[in-house]
Amino acid sequence: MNDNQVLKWRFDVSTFRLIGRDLITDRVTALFELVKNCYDANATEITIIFNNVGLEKNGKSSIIIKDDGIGMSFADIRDKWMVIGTSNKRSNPYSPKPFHRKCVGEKGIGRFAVDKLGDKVNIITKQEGENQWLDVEIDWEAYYKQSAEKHDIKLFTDIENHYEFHDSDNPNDHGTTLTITNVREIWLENDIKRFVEEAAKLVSPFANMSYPMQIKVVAPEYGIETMATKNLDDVSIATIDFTLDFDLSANKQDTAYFNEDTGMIKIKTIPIKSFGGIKMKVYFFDDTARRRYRKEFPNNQIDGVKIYRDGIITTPFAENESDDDKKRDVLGIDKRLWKDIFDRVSTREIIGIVEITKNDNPMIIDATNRQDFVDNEQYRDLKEFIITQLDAIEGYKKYLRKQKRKENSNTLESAGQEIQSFISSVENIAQQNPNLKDSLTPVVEQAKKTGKAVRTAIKEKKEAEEEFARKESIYMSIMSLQEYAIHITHAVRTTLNKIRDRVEYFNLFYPDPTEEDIFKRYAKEMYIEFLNANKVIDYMLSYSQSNIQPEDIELDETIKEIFTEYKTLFDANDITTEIIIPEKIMLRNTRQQFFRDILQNLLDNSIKAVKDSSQKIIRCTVVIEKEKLVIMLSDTGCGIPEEKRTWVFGIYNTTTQDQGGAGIGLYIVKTRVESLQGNVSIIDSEFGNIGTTVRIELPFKK
Amino acid sequence: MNYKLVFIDDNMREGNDNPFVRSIGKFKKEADISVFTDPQKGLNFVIENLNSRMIVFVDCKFDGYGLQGINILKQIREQTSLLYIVMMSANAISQIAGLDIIEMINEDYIWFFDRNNGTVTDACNLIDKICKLWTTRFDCVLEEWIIRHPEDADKYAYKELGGKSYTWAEILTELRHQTAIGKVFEGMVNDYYIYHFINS
Repeated sequence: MNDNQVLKWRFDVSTFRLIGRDLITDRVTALFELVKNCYDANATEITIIFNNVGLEKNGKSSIIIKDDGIGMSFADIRDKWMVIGTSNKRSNPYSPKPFHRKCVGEKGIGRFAVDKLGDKVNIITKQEGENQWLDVEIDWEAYYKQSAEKHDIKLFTDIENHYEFHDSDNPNDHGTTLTITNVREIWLENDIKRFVEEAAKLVSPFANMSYPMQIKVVAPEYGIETMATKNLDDVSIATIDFTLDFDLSANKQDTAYFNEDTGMIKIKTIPIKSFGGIKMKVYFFDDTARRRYRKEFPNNQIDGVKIYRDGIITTPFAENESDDDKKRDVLGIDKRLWKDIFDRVSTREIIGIVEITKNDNPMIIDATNRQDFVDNEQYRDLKEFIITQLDAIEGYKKYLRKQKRKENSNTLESAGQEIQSFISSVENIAQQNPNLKDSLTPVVEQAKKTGKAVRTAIKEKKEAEEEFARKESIYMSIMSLQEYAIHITHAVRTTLNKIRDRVEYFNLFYPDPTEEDIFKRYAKEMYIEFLNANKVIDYMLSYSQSNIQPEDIELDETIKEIFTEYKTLFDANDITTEIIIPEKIMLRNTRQQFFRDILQNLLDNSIKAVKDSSQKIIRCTVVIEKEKLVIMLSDTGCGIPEEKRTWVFGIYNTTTQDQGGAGIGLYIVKTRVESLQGNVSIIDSEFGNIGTTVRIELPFKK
Repeated sequence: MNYKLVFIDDNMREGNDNPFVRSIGKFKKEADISVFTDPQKGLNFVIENLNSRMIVFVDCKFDGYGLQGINILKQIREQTSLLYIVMMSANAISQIAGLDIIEMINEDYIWFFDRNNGTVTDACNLIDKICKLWTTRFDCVLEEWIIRHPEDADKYAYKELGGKSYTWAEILTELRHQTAIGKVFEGMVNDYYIYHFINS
């Protein structure tokens, strides 16, 4: 091949636009890219001015982005900005000292963003110490026109852009101003507000403290002139807040939990999780705080947990959805809301700031659509960790609800007592002053009536509370029944399919003397399947029995009975069982069904948990310790992480989702144990490093 | 036409005596049937026998196994297009995870068999349909040709104008991946045969 004969790549003007359109699809995102570039250029003040961008244009439309960053030299413009595909931020990911910000616009797509916003751009830029401002003019529309008119391929690299230098009054000035004219799309008031709202989240208050960046947004036609940057004070109106930190060298990560004794959210440490150490700040807003927040930040919503990487928001990133109800809940916070209508924390009640970094959390990877992270084990763990933190707030919410109820009752009770003492006082006065008797009698009568009304109110309130508790319990029973219904339906369907295959075989091939053995075998198998289906249905029906009348039971017998009922399941899953009950245990005036519910749910969980274990053992121990009856159920399953030992008792909280766990079992166990005036907890496994031990303590008198 | 029928389903513990498998075997006597309850063992068998014509019935969900139906589908597809896969499920399709359905739909030559409502006859009809494709799909015919005539694999089949040359084996890869070259080549072959039929 002759070395002199070479072909070079060329590309036309529209290619540039095509690439840009693929990279940036939304104008808010485009403007974000430019603001990010300002951040990377160490800007501390950014002003964005929208002129005549609405429907009714009163002049030339423009968007001006002005910053006081380090500015660009002529060489920067020529060798970097104007060279498509370059990004010096890849090789140098930090902004210059002393800010040393972690660069965010590292993909070098800012120039495409300019094209997305308008046809023409004028760049005026200067670095500190230079005597002149560089002024570059870029007009996309002119290129397209030229190539369209000439019907000729206009190559992108042949296009000439004009530039000139202007003298500067002050060599210390620095910064860049982009003036985008012939704005392509209409920006309505709501679009700009959305930008303001999103821009406010662009820099975390945590990261914006050393060298704060302020973003000012001005849109005269809509009367907008606002700062779009939040600081920590802005969120100090929260009802409660907590901060989590980590220490990599000590392998410690903070995690929050609610302490019922103190009524406060506390922090404890756990080993660093798979996703690396994170910092997190969570603010919870109750009804009153929410109203105050709305008043103070009419442009802002309380909108859940945001994840910031190296100080910049990563997700949910500037979602192109103005209706908050339609915004995707990438962390799955609201998806669980319906599951417990009473105490679940929703994204409308919290602001959360999760700080991650590229260095500490390398496995939390941006998804290519830039709207979420890549779904991997570490990200799933991170989501779970975040939701665990919200459980602390849920505990607090529940506590508040209880306290409020108690306070109300106390107020009513004391009102009743006060009326009573008022009546006594008035009667005393009347006794001491018989001449006042006639005047005071109607007052006493009135007070007695009021006292009676208050007593009735107290009684009704108590009844209403009992009614509420009853309804709550019914609601939970229905939910638990739903889970069993799903399991049972699946089990019955599997059985029916097995029977159907065999019936179909009979239908297609019977009689055939050479297949007699197979027909016999299928007939027998069908019979076994039928028995199985019956067993499953009986199991289901046991849940419809409302036989929870108090009775005397022999606990050891009940436990053995339940284990026997599970024998088929244990055998099918190669599970070995042990029951250790040193003596006969008679329980008086109790509810057998409650014990059945407790044991059955614990066994169901253990069966799921041991599924992948090499050694499958389930062991039940019952001992009497002083005035306590202690039941321990242990398995050699996958175990429950320490920080989730309380969490798992919440309804719909499960660590065995993949095995079909729906998170109802342990909730039922907890409510049943509490109904028996006992308590239940997860303790260190009896089997050592593997498995789980659930410990139930019940009051017991021999 | 002889071919292999492979069933990978953790519920088919009876092996070849599973009534569904046995019924199909009675209708499709030309098929060589294998049953696997362990998805990994099933996948290994399929990969070891890539040179055979094969239809693989794969259950969508394997309880307690890391490897799921959708993973098997992907791993098989990476290796060959000669093989046809029938995903089976006892769950309604609405109960299968959305992303899995998307991946299945976006795969070429994949079928879904509803184990609740599908009969043995339905399964046999599906097998017949697939068998027909073996004789008509260009990439399948080419793949089989190369297996029977390995000496042809490295012969040049196509040269771009002033560009790269492609062997038959390389063309097969391009066809499977439906690249621009693959599509152009397939189109040219079709044009070529139409031209010859018209002129013959």
